[in-house]
Amino acid sequence: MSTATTEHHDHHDDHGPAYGWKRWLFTTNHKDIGTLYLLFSLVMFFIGGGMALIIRAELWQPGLQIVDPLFFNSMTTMHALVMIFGVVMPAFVGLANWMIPMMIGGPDMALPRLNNWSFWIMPFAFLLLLSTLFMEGGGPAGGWTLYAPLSLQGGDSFAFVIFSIHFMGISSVMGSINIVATIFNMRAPGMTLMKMPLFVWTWLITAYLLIAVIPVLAGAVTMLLTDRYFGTSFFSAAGGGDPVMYQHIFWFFGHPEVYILILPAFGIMSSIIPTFARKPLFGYASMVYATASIAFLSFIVWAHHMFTVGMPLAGEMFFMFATMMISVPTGVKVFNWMATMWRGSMTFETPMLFAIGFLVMFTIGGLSGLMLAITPADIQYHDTYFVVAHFHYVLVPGAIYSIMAATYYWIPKWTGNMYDEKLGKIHFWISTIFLNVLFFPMHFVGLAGMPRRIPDYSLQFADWNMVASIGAFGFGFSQLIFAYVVIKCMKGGEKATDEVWEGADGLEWTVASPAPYHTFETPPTIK
Amino acid sequence: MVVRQVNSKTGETQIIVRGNRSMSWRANVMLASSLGIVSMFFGTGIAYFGFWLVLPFAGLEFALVLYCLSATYRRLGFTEVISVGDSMVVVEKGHDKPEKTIELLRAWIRLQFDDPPSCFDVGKLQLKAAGQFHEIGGNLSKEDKRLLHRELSLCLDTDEPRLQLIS
Repeated sequence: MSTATTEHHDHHDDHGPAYGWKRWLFTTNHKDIGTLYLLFSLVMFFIGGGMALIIRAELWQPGLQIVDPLFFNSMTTMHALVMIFGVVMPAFVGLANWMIPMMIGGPDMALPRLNNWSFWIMPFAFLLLLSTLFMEGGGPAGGWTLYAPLSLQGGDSFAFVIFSIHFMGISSVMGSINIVATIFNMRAPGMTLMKMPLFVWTWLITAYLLIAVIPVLAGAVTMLLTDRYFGTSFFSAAGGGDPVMYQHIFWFFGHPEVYILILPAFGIMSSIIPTFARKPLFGYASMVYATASIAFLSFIVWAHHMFTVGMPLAGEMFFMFATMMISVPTGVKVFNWMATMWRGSMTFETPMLFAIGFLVMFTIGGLSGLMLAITPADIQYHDTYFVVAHFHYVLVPGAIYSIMAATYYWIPKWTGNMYDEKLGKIHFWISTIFLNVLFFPMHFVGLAGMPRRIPDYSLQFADWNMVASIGAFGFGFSQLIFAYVVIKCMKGGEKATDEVWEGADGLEWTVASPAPYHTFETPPTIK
Repeated sequence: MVVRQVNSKTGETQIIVRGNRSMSWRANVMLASSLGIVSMFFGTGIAYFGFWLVLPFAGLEFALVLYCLSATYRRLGFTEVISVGDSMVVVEKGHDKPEKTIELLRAWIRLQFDDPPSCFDVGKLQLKAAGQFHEIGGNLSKEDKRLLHRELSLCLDTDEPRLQLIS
């Protein structure tokens, strides 16, 4: 019988990227596209942050002082749209682009040209959205939820808002399909589903959620469009439609969207915490099942956002208990991360500080979420600053902190340089202090009855609002440190080793730092 | 992915060009169905209450999911086996099985790669024989084409000194 020898050829270093702007415009390389997403997200972070500072400047004291109420409402609406669709989602997609092919041992994303399109649709979508601020009648001012009939009463920029949301949706769907196709079809031999890093798992489930709910959003906003311009009455009571149904449809998309914004963060935490605790992740399989459970439950809890519309008691009870059930798989995750740290040989580099900050403050946001899940209590808290405090505790120390942690964690692999550890730690501590100064008082004013989305308020809320505004400016300007650290690291610094972190584990750490333009053209074999 | 195999008994070299496909077609169909059924179920449910405009978006998305998964699967499954024997070079191409076989006289083969400087053009790698061009490695990236070009050049050139001695 003859024998055969096999030679695998894998070359990583000889052919780099092209130069100039065309590289970025036409690139199909997953690392380039990941970088584009991340930089786009950073720019949008400062734009959305600027809007938040306008809001907080107006709320510095009672009365109207800086902006008119319509513009204030535009700012609250745009701030949310920009932060959700322009910052958190693109940042996670950027991280997915950079890391998923390297984590599964694939050479690139499955559909590289689709990937290029997914990204380049985004800047146009946001140009369209932001341009509405300069149109007659101003930008959208009815809240990011675009509730009918209020949203239908704005200026003619409404059509632009709808189209920009469609573009964002198309981008998200194309990105998600690409991620699903990549994860399932391009894993290296031996990389079974239950060997995949948690970040890959959480992104797989997130992509699944996106594919399931984006058509719902697209349909909802299209019906708004036809109600406004084509004489239909889907959401107009006068024409036989049902405005409450818009809320049902929107939140059927909106609640899974909340998990779309947080599940990849769970994956990032599951990468960082074991590295700096120098222990394997505790309860890997239970983490996977918990993520899947959260995703499933996210489809059956949407009406907890609308307890005050007047639902049957049975409906309120169902949505209350279903919502509370989410705390079980979430608790599994939190306790698993704690168990991973337990008796670990922990060090506290910047990514770990952000991870621990995430763990503590996300849990605070989760607990206020449980309070909001209680129907009779929610009827009191609804549309107050308590809700604002809740979702900001979930999204800022949750999603944003995880993105920052991921950046500090993986940037040595991306650039080949170590970031400035001292500045990173300063960034963490200043951010964390001001973040709590900003958002914690919102619990107090919310419980005292201060409504959200208003430019003016009663005198009794003045002190805590001033404190929150101080926190906002402190937190906002401290992010300049982050931008500086990132740019500094991109320009140079201490050279990173291939492994970068002592306790790091995974395929991405087996390639050189900076990661070569092409990696794993010949797949590695996973044992 | 470019893999070179050398049969130690016959001395024949085979270069296999293929993608790494980690999931079966059946599993891809199940995945597409699970994604499509869920979004169509939601669309149908909402349409039941009269809000039918979700349905066309769910349908379009399902079509896109199907197309993307099948395109990925098909591309990853395309295989070219180039067998370099003493006198013949045989190129077999196909998805999962040889669908096209080209036999060429080794002595008459010339390898041609245009290797364009543009980063958006992957270039064309061709075997030229008897006045005909046969493209190989069509689904590879430019870097992989360069690699295939190098490997094939090495294989085809191995016996050239012997040919020269005969003359």
